[in-house]
Amino acid sequence: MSLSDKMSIVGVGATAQGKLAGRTSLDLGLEAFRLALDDAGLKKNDVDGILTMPGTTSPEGSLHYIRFGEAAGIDPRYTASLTMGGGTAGALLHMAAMAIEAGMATTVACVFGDAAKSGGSRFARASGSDIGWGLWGMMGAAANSALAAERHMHEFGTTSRQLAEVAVACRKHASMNPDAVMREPITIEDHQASRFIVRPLRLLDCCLISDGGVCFIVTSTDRAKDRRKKPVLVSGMGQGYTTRHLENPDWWYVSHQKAALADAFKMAGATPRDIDVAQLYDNFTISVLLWLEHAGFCKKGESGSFVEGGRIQLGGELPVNTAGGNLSESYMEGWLHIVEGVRQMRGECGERQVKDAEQCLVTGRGMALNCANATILKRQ
Amino acid sequence: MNDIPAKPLPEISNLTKPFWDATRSGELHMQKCSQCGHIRYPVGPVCTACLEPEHTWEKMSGKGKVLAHLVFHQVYHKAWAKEAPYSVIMVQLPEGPRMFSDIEDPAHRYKDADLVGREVEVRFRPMSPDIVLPWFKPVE
Ligand SMILES: [Zn+2]
Repeated sequence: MSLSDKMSIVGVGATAQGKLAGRTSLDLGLEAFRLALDDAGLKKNDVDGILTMPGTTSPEGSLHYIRFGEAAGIDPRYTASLTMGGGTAGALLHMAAMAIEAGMATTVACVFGDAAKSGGSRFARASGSDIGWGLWGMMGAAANSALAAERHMHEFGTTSRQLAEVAVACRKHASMNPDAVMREPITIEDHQASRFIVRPLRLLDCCLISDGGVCFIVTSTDRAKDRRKKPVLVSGMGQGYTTRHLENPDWWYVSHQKAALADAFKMAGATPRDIDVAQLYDNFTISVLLWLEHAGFCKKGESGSFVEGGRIQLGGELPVNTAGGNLSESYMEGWLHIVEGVRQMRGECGERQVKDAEQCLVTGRGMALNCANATILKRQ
Repeated sequence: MNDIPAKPLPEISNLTKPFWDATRSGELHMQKCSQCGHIRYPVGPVCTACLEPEHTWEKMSGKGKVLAHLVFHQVYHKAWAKEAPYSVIMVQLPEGPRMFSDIEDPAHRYKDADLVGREVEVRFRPMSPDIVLPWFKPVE
């Protein structure tokens, strides 16, 4: 029995983004929760499920759900915290949908807050395990994506200028988003002039580090009818993982993303041609290229030329990351990708609205390239 | 003024002790499954192909080929502050496993080079009385 269109997102909330001195992951999450309730026209006691992602600066770690519930004064029927980095938002959306379908809850709030910018993030930790890669200096958030870019360049001739196209598109879109952190337009030359972080990736290939909070509220499409704003259908969902790194010859190419996307398209009964706008997880520019290939917008190895000439900019064939993405809007680890997907499907995006958009693909990916998921949102 | 900290070193566990014993004698050893023959890396308690715990430690030839060559300009850990930009490589061993390692490059000869496809050979760098770290030298 398919879950397609049975669940809807009825409320989204996002706090101010950027450097928010004195704020904590907890109060940012709570503010986003209040904003999402208001957006949905719900009261907190209408919510009987709470799913959270502990921020990198959340001291509670995996016990975050208890601290958040206590702070909000809610005793939920269903709750948990999940840590999959940039894959968490999508995975929690899917968990919410499954819990509601199973009768474990009726209305689930998914919440994230982080003060990574001003609170001292832990993104720069060494990666690997046991005989850890950090012993050789293979560390920091850019390392694994630099590996992906390096291999993609060698196998397919992808260039740094093609990666720049992604950064330029995201920044252009952020310039049309009053809530975005980085709004000054950039050029390919700006990208090429930016310093190397981990070669082949440059500064402008990298996402931001941000403070902020995000929340979205999921309920059944039947219940969603009476909400304040038009509900957005969750039309397709899929997930894929690799737990392996060096032992997976395809690790850098994140082939497990293909399974996530194929399942989402199958559930939605859709093909890439049906997608009007996409919010593709962009911790680094290379990630967008890989999503485009795995989703089937272009063939394997051809994403570099696909993104040239403004094809992924607003007005192009497939507008990607219309709010600016992790690269330029704010680094909320993909949570804002869901928010922007919902807003595009509601037609709320003003200058950056994709006209008559009916289906939006949203993707998330986290940890050391391990966790991937895809969601297709649909206008009702 | 010398505020550069020491590089992080691994704790030696029962599981990893044979690996570090071997590097101290100038050899690169990895686990070979007694059931199916799969050579696994990173070090693990059971075979990743068949879950068999029994294994032997086998000496690798020490040869390899560079699959990826990253150059870290960003200093994520202060211990690397002096040698940045530094090269990290992913190496394909002919025996099957892949591993991350580095290239000793005090003169920054490889900072602007791209060593993908180059043959490399293992070398050993003492880090402490207990820990000797394998690294790879490009074959000229
Ligand atoms: Zn085996």
